[in-house]
Amino acid sequence: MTDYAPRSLADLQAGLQNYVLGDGVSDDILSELTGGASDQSKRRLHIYHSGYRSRMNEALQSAFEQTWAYLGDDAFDAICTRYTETNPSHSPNLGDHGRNFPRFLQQALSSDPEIAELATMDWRLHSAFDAPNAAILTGEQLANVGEAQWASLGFVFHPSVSLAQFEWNALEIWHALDQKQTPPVAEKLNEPVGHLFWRSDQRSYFRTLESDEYAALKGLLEGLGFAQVCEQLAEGYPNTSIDASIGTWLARWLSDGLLSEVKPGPV
Amino acid sequence: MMNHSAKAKPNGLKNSLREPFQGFGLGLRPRHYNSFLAQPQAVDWLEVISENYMVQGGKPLAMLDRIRADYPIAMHGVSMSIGSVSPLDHGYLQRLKALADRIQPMWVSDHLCWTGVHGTNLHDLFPLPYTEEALRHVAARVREVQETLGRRLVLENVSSYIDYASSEMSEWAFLTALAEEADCLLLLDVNNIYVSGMNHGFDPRDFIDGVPAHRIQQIHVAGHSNLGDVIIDTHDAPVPDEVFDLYAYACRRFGPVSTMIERDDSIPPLEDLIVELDRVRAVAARHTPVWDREEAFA
Repeated sequence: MTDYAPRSLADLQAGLQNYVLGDGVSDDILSELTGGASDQSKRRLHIYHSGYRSRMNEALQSAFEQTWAYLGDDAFDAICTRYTETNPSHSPNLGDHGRNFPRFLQQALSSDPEIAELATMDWRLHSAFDAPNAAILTGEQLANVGEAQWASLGFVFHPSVSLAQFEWNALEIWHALDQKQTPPVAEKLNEPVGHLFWRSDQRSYFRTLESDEYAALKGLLEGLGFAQVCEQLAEGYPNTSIDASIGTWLARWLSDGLLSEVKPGPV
Repeated sequence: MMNHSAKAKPNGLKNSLREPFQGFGLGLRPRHYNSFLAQPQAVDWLEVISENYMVQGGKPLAMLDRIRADYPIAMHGVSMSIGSVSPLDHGYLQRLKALADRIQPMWVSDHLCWTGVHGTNLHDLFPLPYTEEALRHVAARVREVQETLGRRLVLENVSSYIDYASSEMSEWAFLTALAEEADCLLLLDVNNIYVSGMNHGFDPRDFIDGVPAHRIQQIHVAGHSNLGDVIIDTHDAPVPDEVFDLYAYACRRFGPVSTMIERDDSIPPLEDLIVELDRVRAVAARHTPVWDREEAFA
């Protein structure tokens, strides 16, 4: 091309990136290529355009397996493409690309709220998988805590631990899809149900929680002291014996490896 | 097949900067974790995708630590974006260094490419224009990375589907100038050379003839998809004959270079890849010049 004037490296990279992120109209960047505006040039440039979308979608497929199964290939692909348009990756790790996907689905598919909940389940399990390592608190360590300390102590949880509350039967849907069965019809639950996610022995787990155990874990995860949480539960659940429940819960949290260390309270 | 057998070691290799020849390896993929843990496998070393293990815990790191106890490991990154005009990501480099400190790899590689600008990662390996401007830019960044990592960086040639009107030199002239200027090493992906050669109309052998033998640290072989008017670097199929032929040519030129099969998609059982790796060994044994064969394949 006689009128070709090379752009700076910065302009070239910005131009090509804009093309890849954009609608695929390639006129501007074609003048940078040896093939110019030929059909072959356009086709080859387009490999980068479509490759970007399929790579990002594949990353979401692998992180949101049951959400993908629920929506089916076409609908999942379409929503992934919309997500990636507004949420380009800023991470060196492609596996991080889905971080905002559940929140995006909450808004983008607001008339089907079970889908965002399903995606939350997928993502929590995915992120528990390679969450940071940390010590696991043992029963023996907990038994050595002095009586006086219990008034003010709290807990540091294992970094893989998280909670979510679902208003729909996302769990049942997830289970059915996981078993390759037809999922049940989406239904709103009578009341929201808390779910716990964590990792143990390199595997991700989840289970549903009764509302009192959910409240206890939520308070402790938010940094409240153990005694404070017990007090709140006694007020919130006057008809249950919190003392008995909390002992059972603690034993289970310990054996599931949810707790990392005892956090001494203010002296 | 011609069996080139120079008696004397070529001048280019007398002051080799390469790490010693390590034999024949594979890319470590999660589907093969259990096979590697169950029993010793006929694989001399493994390459890991650095970013997959730049995490703080869980199964990936636990597997890597266990497998590292039995196999030498090379670290291979995809997100350094050494050619980008955006500033180097120092947080990324520190995490890369932390992983290298943890697993003590044979070497650390990434690609001669850029992956995005202005904080965006397109997760693709975009070619650079082969200009003096790009050369100066990348060489300075390679030196900075090497300073941070405390070791020579190994850079791989990428497959490409476009080339730029602004390029002032061939890809191999650029790689050679960069390696000398920044004092880094090279990972030659023979499949990428083939793919780019077919896509851009150069003879892949010119590429192999044109790069400095004493800086070739590693070789990748892989499969691709030939769509007729363009070849795509898919890494989802066995290494085809044309790539083996080019690999034989590289063996004749470079002598023994640590070589591995890079398979990223449609990953077969480990046994199948080991059979394929035996073919790589056989090609190397047959085509490596006499001057180095004894020490390499003793």
